[in-house]
Amino acid sequence: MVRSLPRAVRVPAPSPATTNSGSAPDRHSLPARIDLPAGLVGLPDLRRFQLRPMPGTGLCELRCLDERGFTVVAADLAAVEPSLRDRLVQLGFAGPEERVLVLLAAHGEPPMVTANLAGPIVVDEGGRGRQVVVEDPAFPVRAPLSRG
Amino acid sequence: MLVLTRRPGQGLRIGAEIELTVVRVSGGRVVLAVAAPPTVPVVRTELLAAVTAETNAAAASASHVRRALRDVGGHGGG
Repeated sequence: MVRSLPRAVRVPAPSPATTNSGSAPDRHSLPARIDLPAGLVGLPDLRRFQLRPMPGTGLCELRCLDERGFTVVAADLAAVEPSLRDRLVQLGFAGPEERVLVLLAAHGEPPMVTANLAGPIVVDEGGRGRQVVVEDPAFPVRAPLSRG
Repeated sequence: MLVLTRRPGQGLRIGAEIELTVVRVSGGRVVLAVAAPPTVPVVRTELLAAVTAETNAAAASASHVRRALRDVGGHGGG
């Protein structure tokens, strides 16, 4: 059986919504606080997060308020792979108005940055969200992030 | 835990809306068909574990991610 490598997704370009650290979010901005009532998948106690844009990167940091030191870097799926974001809406995992964040991790040396497309975090405009698990080959756990 | 023996073509129902059918068994693998409402997530247990492991990896490597992506950004547009 031939198993193809997961396709790469793009490093997001800096955008006003994620580079602006000001206090006047537009209607596309992510809220500064995200609550996941069910917690993260397999980590149900990690529910409350502070979201901070990373200036100049198009990314954001999610700092967990329930566990000191637990911080992850995330990207807006619409910025790295809009078609996959649309696909999640088609599959019913996300609503048309909801934002979808994917968590980034670095593996190996030199580090290769990957996006976890199988476990995206879906967030509504009010900052209430959930981590979902997508059982679909187009959504691998480790999709390489490229400059595409 | 309830343990049942089923043959290919046989199935079982979980609650009112979820039905599991054994499609075939071969080479130590069981092929199952799952019928469930779209609101019920159906995922392999190992995928759940993989997602959790990757979340932990994301937290453990956040500083490496920041550094790697800043390096990418520092090389100009592409």
